[in-house]
Amino acid sequence: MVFSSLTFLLYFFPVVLALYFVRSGIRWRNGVLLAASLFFYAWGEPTWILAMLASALINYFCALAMQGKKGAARKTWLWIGAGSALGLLFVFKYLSFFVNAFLGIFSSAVRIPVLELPIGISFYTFQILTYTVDVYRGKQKPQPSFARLLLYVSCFPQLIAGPIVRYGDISKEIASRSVSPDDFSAGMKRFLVGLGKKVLVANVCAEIMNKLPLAGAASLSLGGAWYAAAIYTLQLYFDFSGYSDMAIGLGRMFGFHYKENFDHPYWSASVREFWRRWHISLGSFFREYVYIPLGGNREGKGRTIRNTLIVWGLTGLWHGANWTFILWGLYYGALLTIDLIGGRKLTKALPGAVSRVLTLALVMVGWVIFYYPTIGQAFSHLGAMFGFGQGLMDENALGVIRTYSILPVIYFLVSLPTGEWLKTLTARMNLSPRVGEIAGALVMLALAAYSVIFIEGLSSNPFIYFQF
Amino acid sequence: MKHKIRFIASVVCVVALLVTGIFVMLFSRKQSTPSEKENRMLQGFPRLSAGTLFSGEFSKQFDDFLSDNFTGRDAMVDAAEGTLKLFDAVKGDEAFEKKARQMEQDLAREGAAGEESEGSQEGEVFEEDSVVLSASEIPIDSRKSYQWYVKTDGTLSLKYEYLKTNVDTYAETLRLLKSCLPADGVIDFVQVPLAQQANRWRDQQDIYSGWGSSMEMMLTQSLGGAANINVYSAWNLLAPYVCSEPPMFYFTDHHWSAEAAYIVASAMLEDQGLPVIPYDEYSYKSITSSAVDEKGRRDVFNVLYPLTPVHSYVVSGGKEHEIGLMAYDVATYTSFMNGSREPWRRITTQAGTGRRALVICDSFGNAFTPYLLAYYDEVHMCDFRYGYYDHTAAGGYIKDNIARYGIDDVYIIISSANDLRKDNSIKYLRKYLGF
Repeated sequence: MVFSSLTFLLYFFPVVLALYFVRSGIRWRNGVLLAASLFFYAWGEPTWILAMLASALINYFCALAMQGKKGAARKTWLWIGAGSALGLLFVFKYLSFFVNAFLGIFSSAVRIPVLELPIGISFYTFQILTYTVDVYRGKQKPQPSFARLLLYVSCFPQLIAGPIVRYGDISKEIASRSVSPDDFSAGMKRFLVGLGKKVLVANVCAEIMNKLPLAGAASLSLGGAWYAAAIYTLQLYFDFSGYSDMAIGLGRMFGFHYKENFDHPYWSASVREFWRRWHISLGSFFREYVYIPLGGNREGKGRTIRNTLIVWGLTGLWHGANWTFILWGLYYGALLTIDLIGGRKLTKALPGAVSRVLTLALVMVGWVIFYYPTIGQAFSHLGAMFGFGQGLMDENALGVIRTYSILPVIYFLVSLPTGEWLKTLTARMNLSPRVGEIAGALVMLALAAYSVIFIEGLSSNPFIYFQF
Repeated sequence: MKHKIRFIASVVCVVALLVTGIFVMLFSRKQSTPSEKENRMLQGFPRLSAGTLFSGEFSKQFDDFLSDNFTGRDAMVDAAEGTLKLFDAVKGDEAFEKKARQMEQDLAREGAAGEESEGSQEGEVFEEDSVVLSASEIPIDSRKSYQWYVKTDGTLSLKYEYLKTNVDTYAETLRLLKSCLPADGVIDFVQVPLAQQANRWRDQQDIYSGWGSSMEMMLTQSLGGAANINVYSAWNLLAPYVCSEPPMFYFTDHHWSAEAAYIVASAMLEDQGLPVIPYDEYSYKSITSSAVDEKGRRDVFNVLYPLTPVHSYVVSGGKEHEIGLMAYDVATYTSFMNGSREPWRRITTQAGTGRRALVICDSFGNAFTPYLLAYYDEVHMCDFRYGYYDHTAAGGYIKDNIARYGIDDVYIIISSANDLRKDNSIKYLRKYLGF
């Protein structure tokens, strides 16, 4: 099920809320949430829910089996648990890619079929891993109740597209939590902001993208290529951060406090800063569970560069079994390596505005690689961006740009920390808190109404991050 | 509580969403109904069974059902588009309009148009009986062609007009498309009336005795004798059968029937010198519609079984996903070709002819395409309507895929809902072709 679908908004969401609050005990509320989460997943993936259940069950037993054991025995259970979760991910997501790539080396015409990817498998696999690894490390106690562990893995707000919630972050709230009216309204506000980002911005950007000539078109010009890259840059941010906002908001309405996943990434002055602001939960996972165990930056520059490239290659691969994703990951690995060996000093020497524009341009180049299914198409588009296309501006792109020139500017401004700037500004105006309260409530109602209108009025698009 | 008003607004939101949901469920139409505006069947309430539930079909159809039957849907579409237009820097699609104007000016300069030039615009729809001509007058001139009914008193009642500028633009698109095909490759074009147009004549034979269209004649003239581009008139081909049995057009649906599609396909194949397989040599599953029209009539969808084994795939995002060729268990027009599938469809056969065809169509292509399967090793399909063709998902523009798949012949099957007065044919076909 998709948050921005009518099925979710008109039925699932209000009915689950009503059932959740009809009684106050944690057993009832966890039960409602677990049943709702399994229904939520099964609505779109009636078969592959079994894969999630199997992965959670194996890791539940493995974590319990680690109790009281030390050394190799403990490690064996870690390998069984983590291996089963990663093995499942590998089979569904990567097996056909690697086998077919291998067969391709020998010019074999034989190909194994690409399996249908269970939705959210990359996200819930990583969540399961944080549980098993943290239990192994002794940071967390094994969860004695399978239902509670399953609730952590399958909790519908973050199940399908994150943020990747670490077990330690919400283990206490699974056992005991409360929702105040302020929590509820703050969660609702956050949910509606996320819904608006997805429906009012990301979907409109998707419509614009559909009208633009892209790689493979007879006329991909320099201006058209940069404009398309800019629109996709906006679409991706509003799509994914909108989903994260909705997840965080929904979580809060049910008493969970998820960590932030985005922090105005396009306001970054360096690529390193960008990755501290973009998909924070993924970056933090790789830092905690891959980069640091590999040695991090403690074993000299050479090892640090190696570890950086490994982490970014894996980050790219996590997004999908495709060479463009691997290239995209390595692109960031290379940029961060340059940053490490001296680029950081150069960036700091630049005026703030220049470094922000430069960072944004580098990020846009990255998104072009990310967008296309083949490296050839990506390079064709990048070629046009750097003057090897069909002139400065083509007629088709110009028609679209002239139609959609105001909205992207507004969207870009919204992607910056303008909300915080506005808050500072209104604080200086000494407005009555009641005025702000009423204005906020009206904005919420308007967002809800307009979102429903746009869901119905524009052709909807699935969340981009669902495919990962 | 710090934020009392915000809390009340939150509760109001949740309650309003639930009330809207209940309202939609109570007052929406549960049966699948045709949408003339969108030229497709709107989703009815899905059938609940273990099969549909576990295949995910129920959930998908339920989402579509809510979307298709949402109260005030058209108003919401208008509101969303109107909101976006507020932010338009200029009127949309100016580039296409500019191109159409440029082409017209070029023609005028060359003396080909020979008439005062006008901007590209949608042709007029005449009010009933507003223009009456004698049957001896052929409704075509240097600037316009027409579609009409012949009335029993011998006069003509004009229905639609087609501007020559639009027809010329379309002819240019066909020539560009032909340049992508091998020298012996053929383009066959037909525009098909809607069921409503045919049944108007069939049901009111005291008023109407025929129909016609001069657009095809104008398009042929605009093509200027371009080799291997053939224009067919469905009006002429189907006229002898419109009032007879079996019906050429459905009553509960706005599409043409398998029998009508067969007649047009046979004419095209025969002109190519191919042996036409008699209609009765095919085996069919006859499916009676669950819906009835206002006169209590039901339709029979004759969905053929291909003569050789076939595999049918939806191609999207570089992947192929096999689906059934037909939906033999669906009692609607969707049974043909298992409905329109985006962005690209590939059907492999064992015809062994060494040739491949592409059908560029709206949903009317679904009844037509089955009759090509015995003549081609592969038959491909794509829908040219606005929003249907995603060139990224399809792996390129249509011309790229023509080269990739080695297409020999192209069939263009469009309905009056997307005819040469509409943006779909004039603007978007060319855009999706990649020119």
